[in-house]
Amino acid sequence: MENKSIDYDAMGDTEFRAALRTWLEDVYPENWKQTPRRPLLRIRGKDARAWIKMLCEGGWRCPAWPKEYGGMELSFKKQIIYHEELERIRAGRIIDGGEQMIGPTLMAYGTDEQKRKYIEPTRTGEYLWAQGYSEPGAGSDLASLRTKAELEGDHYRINGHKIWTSHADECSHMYALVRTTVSEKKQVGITFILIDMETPGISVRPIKTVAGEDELCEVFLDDVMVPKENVVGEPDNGWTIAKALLGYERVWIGNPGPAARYLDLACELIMKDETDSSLKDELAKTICDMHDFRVLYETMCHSISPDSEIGPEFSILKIISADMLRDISELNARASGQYSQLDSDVEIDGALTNIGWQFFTARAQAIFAGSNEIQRNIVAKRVLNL
Amino acid sequence: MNPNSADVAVTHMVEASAQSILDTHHSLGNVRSPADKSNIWKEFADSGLLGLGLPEELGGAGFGARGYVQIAKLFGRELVSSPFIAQSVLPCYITARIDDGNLRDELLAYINAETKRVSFAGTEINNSIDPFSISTKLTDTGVFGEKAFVALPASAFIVTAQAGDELCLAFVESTEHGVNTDNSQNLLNEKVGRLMLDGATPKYDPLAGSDIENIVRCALDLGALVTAAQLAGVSHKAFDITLEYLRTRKQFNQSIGSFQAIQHRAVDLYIAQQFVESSIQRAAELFDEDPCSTQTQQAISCAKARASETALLMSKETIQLHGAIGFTDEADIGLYARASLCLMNQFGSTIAHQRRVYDIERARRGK
Ligand SMILES: Cc1cc2nc3c(=O)[nH]c(=O)nc-3n(C[C@H](O)[C@H](O)[C@H](O)COP(=O)(O)OP(=O)(O)OC[C@H]3O[C@@H](n4cnc5c(N)ncnc54)[C@H](O)[C@@H]3O)c2cc1C
Repeated sequence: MENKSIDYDAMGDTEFRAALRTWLEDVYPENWKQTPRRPLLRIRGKDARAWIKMLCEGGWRCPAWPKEYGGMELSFKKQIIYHEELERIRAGRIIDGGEQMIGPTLMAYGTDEQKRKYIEPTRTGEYLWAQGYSEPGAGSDLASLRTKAELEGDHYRINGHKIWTSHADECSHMYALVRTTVSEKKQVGITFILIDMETPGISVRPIKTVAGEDELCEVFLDDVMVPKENVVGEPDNGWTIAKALLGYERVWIGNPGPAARYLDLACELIMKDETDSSLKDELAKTICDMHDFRVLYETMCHSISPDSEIGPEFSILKIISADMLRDISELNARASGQYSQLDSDVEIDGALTNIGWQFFTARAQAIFAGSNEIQRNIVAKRVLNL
Repeated sequence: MNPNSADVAVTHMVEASAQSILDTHHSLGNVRSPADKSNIWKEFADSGLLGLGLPEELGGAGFGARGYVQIAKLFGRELVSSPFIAQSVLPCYITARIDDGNLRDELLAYINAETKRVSFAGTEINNSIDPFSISTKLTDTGVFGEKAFVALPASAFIVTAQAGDELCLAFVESTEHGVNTDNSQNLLNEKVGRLMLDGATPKYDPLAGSDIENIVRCALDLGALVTAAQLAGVSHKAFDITLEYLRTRKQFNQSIGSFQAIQHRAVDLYIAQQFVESSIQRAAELFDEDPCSTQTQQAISCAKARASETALLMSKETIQLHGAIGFTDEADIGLYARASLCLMNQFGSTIAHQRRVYDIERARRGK
């Protein structure tokens, strides 16, 4: 099945941008937009499914996927434009592991049967995917994971405990890393497996975050029987598969959009005649940072050619975006004066916001998908050869 | 006339020729102690490096900001101390943009000369980036005022002055009555000083009007951008030297670069350097597209502020990461810090540029 037949390839970049912009302006719902109140707003669950459906119907779903799987198969340049336009309309983010991880992984490593079974429902949003990697004892040191999968006939019997699994309670499926063999080198013996969340033995417990939300979950797996044909690639070789797609994640996850939304709030709070000049000067510096971050991001994105690898140097984008979120969220807290103490939405001189929410939500970016410390380790070793 | 037509190939050729002059005539000794650098300037003149920004029909290479940025980075890496910006880049830019006539002919003669030099003198002691924020005035009896940190020696000056509510450019020779200078040595061992004007008579009719105002604004921005590029070159080289040191210096039986506390700092320096490079490149592209646009001004101020801050960060970190050897005159690393301090506030301080960006952004947001 294909996306609604629009010939993106025939369009010039400008025309493509205009077409997407018009469509977004027509259809994008106001209440899904990021605002100073919710600068990192996420669209989840039911809303996420509805948004994916809209994308499918409009012909804008899966920009990077090949056409044979119903994707748009955009050039990388057009993919950048795609993301820029979503940012421009201030679209809420969705965690779409299906589009970003599962689709491309199955296309590269999946069996024909797996492709047939999973790709299309993932595209249409019928299947939403959780990422079951982290465990209580395996965070940054992910390869030390211990959730055990033992082969019994045609099934793996899985026992273990995943944690920090985003939105697991609203996902239909989970792609997980499990231990199938205990070996000297801990990266060996890990298996990449697809799990239906309806399978008996799975229980999900939401975890309330410091921002007061329940986006994270724990997933307990007790004698969960998963068909062995759900293994992607070879058993024991899951580490390679999980790593294979990290490149593009480095690019998208480090985009300047989130920090830009935080900056919008800072401008609301600070750009007034009566504001103390030291705050204005801090904001001035931040505006420069934002400008230069956008320029750096565009420069690095445009340096990517169709067949070049996304190197470890792209890790700096995530470091920068997390550091900027950190800095701007602090600036906002300082600029909000006494309002920072309120545990609710507040209106400060006409700007509706929530100082606690923006402060706490900003923390996550430096922790997930390889903490900033881990990213710095990577850059030091693999880019600077230290 | 297209003063921005320098293409990549020409830039490479120019870079190579500048590099070969530096290889023969320049050493870091020039930065350590005062040296006679007139022969480098002569070589620059002979190989056409001083007229790069002139259009081809005036004997130049049609260099725009992109070309100059490359040369300035080279000068930064090599720690070249020369009044290149004030005595070549900006005189070329102004000459390329004013109408032909006696003044332009005279400027052309200066630009290509081996010995006599003309200095752009736009800055005053307040170091403002606003060309109107000056006290120098043109009156019926001549030019009155004081310019600060003017590149010396020079036989003539292109002076900015207020004439009523207009901004004007006056060409003043150093031998003219009412023209005095004093001399200081800066950290790159260049001479800079005050230019004191007490009723100096301009040699030609001063240029005034909105065109001239534009030219001056853009010239100041070009100065800021090329200075930023030079700073970027300085930072880049200091970083490379330090990385090499981190890989080779051993303590506790391992390279000091294997310690995580040091690795993370090195990564932050790397990030800072990546920021600088792309910021400057973007600003140069915008300048060559339209030197006067708000977008260009914003990009240049961002680039200059970032280059200065990064150079300062790089200075302190690279010295620290060298340990005691970094504290010595003998080690080269400290020279890059000298260059950074020397250049960082030229063509506007960090805060002045950041505030300009703030004002532009505030207007854009309609606040
Ligand atoms: C909002 C959010 C969403 C998430 N979503 C998911 C998800 O959907 N699926 C999933 O599997 N996981 C998810 N995670 C988990 C995330 O991947 C882990 O939190 C991350 O890998 C870090 O592991 P940890 O929390 O156990 O911290 P730890 O690894 O225990 O680290 C604690 C601290 O020590 C530092 N540290 C650790 N090792 C080193 C080192 N070698 N050098 C220097 N410093 C080090 C870390 O940087 C951190 O500051 C999510 C996390 C968050 C915050």
